[in-house]
Amino acid sequence: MNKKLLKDNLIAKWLDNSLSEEQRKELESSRELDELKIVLDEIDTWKVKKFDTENGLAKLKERKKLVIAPTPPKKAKITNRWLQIAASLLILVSAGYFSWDLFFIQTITIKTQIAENKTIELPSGSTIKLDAASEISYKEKNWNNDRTIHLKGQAFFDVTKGSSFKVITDRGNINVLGTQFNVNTSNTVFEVICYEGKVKVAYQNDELILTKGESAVVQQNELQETTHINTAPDWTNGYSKYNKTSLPEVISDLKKYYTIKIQLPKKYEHLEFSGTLTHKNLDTALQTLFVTMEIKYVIGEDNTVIFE
Amino acid sequence: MEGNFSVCEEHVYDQLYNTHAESLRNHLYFKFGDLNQAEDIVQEAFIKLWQKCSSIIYEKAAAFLYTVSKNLFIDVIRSKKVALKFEKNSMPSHDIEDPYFHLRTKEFQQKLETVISELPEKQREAFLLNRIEKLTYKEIAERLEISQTAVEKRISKALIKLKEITELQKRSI
Repeated sequence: MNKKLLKDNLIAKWLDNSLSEEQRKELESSRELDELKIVLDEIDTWKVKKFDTENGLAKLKERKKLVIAPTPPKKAKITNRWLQIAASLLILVSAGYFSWDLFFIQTITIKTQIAENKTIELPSGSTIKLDAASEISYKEKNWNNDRTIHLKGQAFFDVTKGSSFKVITDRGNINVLGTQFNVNTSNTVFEVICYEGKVKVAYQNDELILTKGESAVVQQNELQETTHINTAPDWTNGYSKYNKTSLPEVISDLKKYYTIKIQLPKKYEHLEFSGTLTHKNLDTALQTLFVTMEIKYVIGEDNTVIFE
Repeated sequence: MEGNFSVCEEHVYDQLYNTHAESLRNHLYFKFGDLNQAEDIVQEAFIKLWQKCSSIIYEKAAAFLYTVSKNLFIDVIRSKKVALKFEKNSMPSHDIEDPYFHLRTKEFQQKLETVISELPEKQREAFLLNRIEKLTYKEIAERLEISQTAVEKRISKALIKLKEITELQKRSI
């Protein structure tokens, strides 16, 4: 009988009163659904707890005050140009230093490809988890006396106690004793998050000392302190969280975790994304990103993302 | 309503909240089974609507809210087991003469809640939108962006499950 009721969704049509007169009579004469009808009548009287709209709206208004009122996207300031030039000079100089260094002293370099993670055990028992499309290098010789790591991209450090431990990046330097922390220098970001112990972060002339639950991020060219409640960086668990991150930045991050071809149309460049994207499933990640932003797209050959 | 309402205008925004907040909360509750989380996500979705109010036209606001909150729920860690609770109007009947007495006891009502909670998410969502939110199959199809036949199929399966439970109850007395 149940099979018959499922056929052509007969039972749903019965509930909806959309059966033909004939079908309905046949079904009712079987008395098969009498008891279900009683149960459904009962369910029809059920209600969800009343929603307190007034209170909800009042709370929302409080929160709205904290949110930056929506404004049209700003154009990049031209005053940044000098900074850009200074920064590229700095990179050139440090690249020069770097290659000299590489040439004369044997340096160990470890790189990750797109969508790849690596865990590196250092001589003293410290470990480094290297995120996708990142690179570290260090000198194995005399390691215990000079624990210095050069980093490009993003990595999570779990450092055993010992002599001081330095992380040098293009953007700023980190100096620590035994501790756990994450350094992100992907895209245009410079961010250090401390999970344990103490970390000293230097950026240009700014310096900050971080302890557990604190993090430092460069904003408007200044090192600023914030807080967090995590025990490990999200990327080590296979996802990234974004909070009002510009769409181009999110895309260049995605390119670290997936081999995709994607050319973001200019009209979307000013958009911001808040949410979580997985590193494990391209379809899910793209869907989460673009559906929220109401951007239509299709995935073509070779993972090429095409916008409509 | 006129087409050029701006969502950024406070009275338009408030009116959207008054119209959609409760039904959005209920929908999320049916789907994911956690009332508090559902309410948090409603607030979150409305904040996002506010942040983007200049780029969202009034007619699209509801669709935006549903899409955003669905995605937000995917992000949060799903809370344990779904255990839906409803407020019931009817007092349990004590009339022994009632031939359906066994279906009106408090115990059986609780059992129904459990059975509905344990339905597959999609069946539960469609069934409750129809019975509790009183949406037609057509409206559910539009809301979920699926065909009306798909809605009927989900509801049919849910109904069969309820029918089976009802029959078991009869046998147990």
